[in-house]
Amino acid sequence: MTQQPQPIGTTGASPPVVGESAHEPSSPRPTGAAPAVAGRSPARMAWERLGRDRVSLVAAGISVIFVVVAIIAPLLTAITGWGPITPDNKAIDPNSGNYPLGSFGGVSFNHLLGVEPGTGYDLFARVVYGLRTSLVVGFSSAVISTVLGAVLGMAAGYFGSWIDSVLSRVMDIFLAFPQLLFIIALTPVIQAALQTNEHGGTNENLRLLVLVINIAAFAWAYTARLVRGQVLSLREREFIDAAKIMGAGWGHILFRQLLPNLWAPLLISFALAVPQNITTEAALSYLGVGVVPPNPDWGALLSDASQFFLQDPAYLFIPGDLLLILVLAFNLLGDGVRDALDPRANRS
Amino acid sequence: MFRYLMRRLLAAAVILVVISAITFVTFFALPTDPALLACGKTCSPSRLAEIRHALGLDKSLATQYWEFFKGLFVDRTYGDQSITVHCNAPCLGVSFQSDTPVLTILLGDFPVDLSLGTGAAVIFLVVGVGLGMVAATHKGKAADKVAVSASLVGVSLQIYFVGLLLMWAFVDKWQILPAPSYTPLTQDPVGWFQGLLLPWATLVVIYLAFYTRLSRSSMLETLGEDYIRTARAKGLPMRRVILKHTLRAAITPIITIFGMDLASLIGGTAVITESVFGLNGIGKQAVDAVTNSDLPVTMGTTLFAAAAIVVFNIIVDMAYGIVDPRVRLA
Amino acid sequence: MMSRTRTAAIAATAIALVLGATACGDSLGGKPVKGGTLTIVEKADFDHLDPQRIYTTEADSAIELLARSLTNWDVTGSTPKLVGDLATDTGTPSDNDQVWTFHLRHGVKWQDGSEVTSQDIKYGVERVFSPDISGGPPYASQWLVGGSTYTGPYKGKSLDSLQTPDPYTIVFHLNQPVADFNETTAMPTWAAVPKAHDTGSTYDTHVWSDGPYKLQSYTHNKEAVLVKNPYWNASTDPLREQNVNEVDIKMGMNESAIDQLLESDAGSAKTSMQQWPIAGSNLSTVLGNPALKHRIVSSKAPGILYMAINTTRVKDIRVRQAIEYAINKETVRGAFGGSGYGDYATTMLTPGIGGYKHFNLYSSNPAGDLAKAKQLMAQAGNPKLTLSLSVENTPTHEHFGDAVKNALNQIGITVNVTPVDAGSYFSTVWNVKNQYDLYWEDWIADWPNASTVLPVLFDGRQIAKLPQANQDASYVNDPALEAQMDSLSKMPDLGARNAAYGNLDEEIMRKAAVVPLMYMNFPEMFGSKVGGLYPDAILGEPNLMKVFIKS
Repeated sequence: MTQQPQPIGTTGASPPVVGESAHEPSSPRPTGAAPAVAGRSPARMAWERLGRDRVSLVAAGISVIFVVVAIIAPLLTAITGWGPITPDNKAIDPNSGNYPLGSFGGVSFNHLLGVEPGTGYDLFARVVYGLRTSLVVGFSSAVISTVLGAVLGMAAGYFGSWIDSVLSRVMDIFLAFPQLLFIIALTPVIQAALQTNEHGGTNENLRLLVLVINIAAFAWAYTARLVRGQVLSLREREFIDAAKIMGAGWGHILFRQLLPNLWAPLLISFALAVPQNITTEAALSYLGVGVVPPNPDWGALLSDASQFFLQDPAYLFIPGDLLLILVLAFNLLGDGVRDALDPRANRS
Repeated sequence: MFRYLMRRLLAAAVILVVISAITFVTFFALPTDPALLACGKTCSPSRLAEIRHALGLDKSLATQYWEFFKGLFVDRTYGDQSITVHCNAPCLGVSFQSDTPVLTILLGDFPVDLSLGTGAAVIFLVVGVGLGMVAATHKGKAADKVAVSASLVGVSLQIYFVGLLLMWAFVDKWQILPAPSYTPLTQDPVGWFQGLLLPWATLVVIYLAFYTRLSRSSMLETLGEDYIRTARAKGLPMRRVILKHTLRAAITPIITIFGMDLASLIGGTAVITESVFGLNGIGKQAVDAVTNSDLPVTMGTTLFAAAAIVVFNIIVDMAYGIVDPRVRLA
Repeated sequence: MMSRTRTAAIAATAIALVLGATACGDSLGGKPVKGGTLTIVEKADFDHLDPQRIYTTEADSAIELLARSLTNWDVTGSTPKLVGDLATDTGTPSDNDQVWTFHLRHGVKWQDGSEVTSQDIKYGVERVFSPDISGGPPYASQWLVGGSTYTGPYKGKSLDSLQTPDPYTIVFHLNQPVADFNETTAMPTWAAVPKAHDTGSTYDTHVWSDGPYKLQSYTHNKEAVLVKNPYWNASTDPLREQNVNEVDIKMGMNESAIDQLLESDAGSAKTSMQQWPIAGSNLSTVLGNPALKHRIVSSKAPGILYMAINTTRVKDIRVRQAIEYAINKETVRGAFGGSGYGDYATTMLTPGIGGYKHFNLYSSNPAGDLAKAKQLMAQAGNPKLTLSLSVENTPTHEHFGDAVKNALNQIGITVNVTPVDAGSYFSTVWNVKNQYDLYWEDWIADWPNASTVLPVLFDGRQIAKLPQANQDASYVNDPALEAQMDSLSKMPDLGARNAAYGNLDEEIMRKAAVVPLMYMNFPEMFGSKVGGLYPDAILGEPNLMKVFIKS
């Protein structure tokens, strides 16, 4: 049978089979009584490895800061006094095309990151609320796609035969489908379906949900392929045979035997999916099919900023750099998690 | 090998049929009416009905799909009022907007994506694998650290951000390059190269980072294998060890992903790159078709992109069989 | 008529044109020189290049090089002057303006050397009636006798009201008196098409030329290349010149990229020009740059940009009046690019259109009068309304939507800005089934008379007749108004008619069904080596008929 192709989105490393990790030698104790060798679980060891990795800690810290800022966004805008859709007509010059007054795009004590050209919205407020969207969509879609991928991947790998054929073909179809076109095509349908009243309002939360499902729907196949490959090798192992002999049903085998051995690759898959999904969400908004204005979103901000780039470069660089740092931090964290979970010294 | 190939091709055909059916059905769920768009601004109800008939939209969904399917094998003719449009098999339909056969449109756009994709792919594969090898063999040293950090940043960048900055720097500020555009290679090689340089650079920045990381980790894994240690212990020079033994084994995951990436670039999913640089490729054509409710062109571009991926998957799997002696193709 | 995503309203008066011409600097550039290649950079393909299907300003400008119409406008003077193009003069009306006779020039040749005859014009106009040849303006089908039942020449039938007694004479029989019919015939709808070279619905890319250039190649969404028509003769064509060797029309470039390219004037940009106006986000920078002054041609005030209020959904006139007072035209104009975009509008007719009358029924302060607006809302019982506003899904329009939303927020109206895809915007909002309350709209008159503005936008009878193409976006449906429109169109005295149109404009504005926002300018850049571009107040585009490339 063909070797399973590695899914895109991971760095191609096959995840470790955790049951084989070697115990680390305990560090020498200074004095006294005979040293007690404490057994540590793989999770504990991974955690400690992560703790020793300074770069990952910094990345984790930055990620936490972003999350906290996103959570307290309403508090922050209450402090500054400018919400994300409250325009400041005095900060822009209508005769010049609603350009921000002042330098760096209107940075001042009143507007910490300046003002958006064209509308006069406070950029700080737009950025922190846009961060919310990015994080919510990024995390939720990663959770859904990981869970869905895990379940279907396990089913395909464990049951084999026609279930595997069907599921594999379904995965192939999802992987071959041009995701972007599909989402662009569906946007007007979604828009119409989400309309809450006949005067054009849409339920923003529902729209976010649809976006999350859209992204997750195309991402699960990667996780599923990965899990399927793992399960294919795991199911020949003796502990599975032992469980079968003892009369365990497939439910028990899948969720109590196989799944615990899969948590490492799943965690890695999840950790790397988050920045990937944040990027996808920003790209969709950049193309105009993600979040609809005037709701703030980083991709939409960048798309708008590219129009005003020569006149107000700060408008591009501020969200652009922040998005870079956000994705970078999560990527670093994901790498750190992967290195921590992989006992092979070579890879770290 | 042959039977395997046949089986895969059959499976590929099934996938494409399913995708075409899904696209068809989705299209008809859309609220916009293609006949209205083709009818124009001075549309009367009777004219609208005539246009609907001319486009075949008054037939049932199933009939329309069947006619599309038939057209893949049999010539079709469109239009009954004015001069008819002939569409030779394989006929992917005729555009609602411009009355041109879809295949003609696709073949006209394809060279852009072919040039864009292949050019970028060659660079990021070769350079990426090379950098990854260097990083892996100098693990822990300065070269490795630089490669790792740089590629991490590269992977975190957004295409439109990079593209915009490069355009501003090279076209507007320093005026070294002309505005990106596509000129056919046969027509003007220098213009072809210059016009595609910035789009290639943008794609390379991001993909290169990814391939450096990928090949580094793949090489590291292989370098840790016992047989490599044996080879070193036997006294083989490092270079021979790397090129002859390690690379061959490490290359398999890279090939898979490269296949998919190349397929999607050539198949027209580089939509953002095309729109940032104003290149008229299949991606842009597809987005325009979707927004203009041009069903035949939407179908054509979707199938084209999907077919590219499916075909490359097969090529990659066959390449496995050649490159990696541990793999037996069933 | 529309620029591709907007409908544009025409024209300028003598004074306006003079101001425009002097303000635009060296577009004329000295004495014409032969040779060179002109590049036109477009952000999108033409909707259609088939003359009978053209209804956008970019295509209308380009087709001037390929297909001559019956009459045309000479824009080289201080005012646009109607002259004969394929016709020797501007035609002879008879029978109370219901019959129009045109005599054609001799010796006008097609690109294969054969002569253009009246039969070719008859065939061209007949094509309009075929459902495959859709998209053009409605005048031929509206006014020619028998037009309502005729379905085009492809089934062998011909239209009897188009008579060709000899190869150089064509006579039109109209079903009503049309005093300015010869202004209609300046549109490309009335161009000749030779039957032997007609390719039906694909004629867009196969236009057969009787002008100074012919179509060498045209790939949709990519490029069209025009080369010299060797059979064109200056002696039969007083309007055009054949200076450049080739015209390359490149499509699909990003709007900002086009602006930046032309600003830089580097390399090939020196011999390039644009047909779309400068993007709103760049407008004030470009206009404010003294170095660019000589490379901008501005066609003044050809159009009106306005917001329509759906009177069947916003029924209380006091609420509509409150909206008129609350809108902040300063931020609205800012969203579109600032003061360079055009003057604030208070009437639906643009200064320069025959019939224009100056008045302002609402706020004299362009930033609006919130106090008066709130007062009106109080009179209406302070309803807390939610209204949907349709705009195109472009950044400029979305900023416009924000400006409206924020202004109306102050009087208790919540506005949901709903972007609609730009390519299908008008098909969507002109469909009576649409569910919007407020609409972004614009309109350019097809020729500079109120008759192509007010009836088109406010005659309620089209709601029932053309439910998919209803341009009366505010659903004004007043039989008394319609009766006035009918009688006005028949008035013999031009002066009296124009005065009456001015009063009609004011009466319509009293209904508070539309909020006029700006009269539009269309400033466009060209490279330093391009000369001979006259601002065309009819089209809202630089006129290409005398273009040349400086050596």
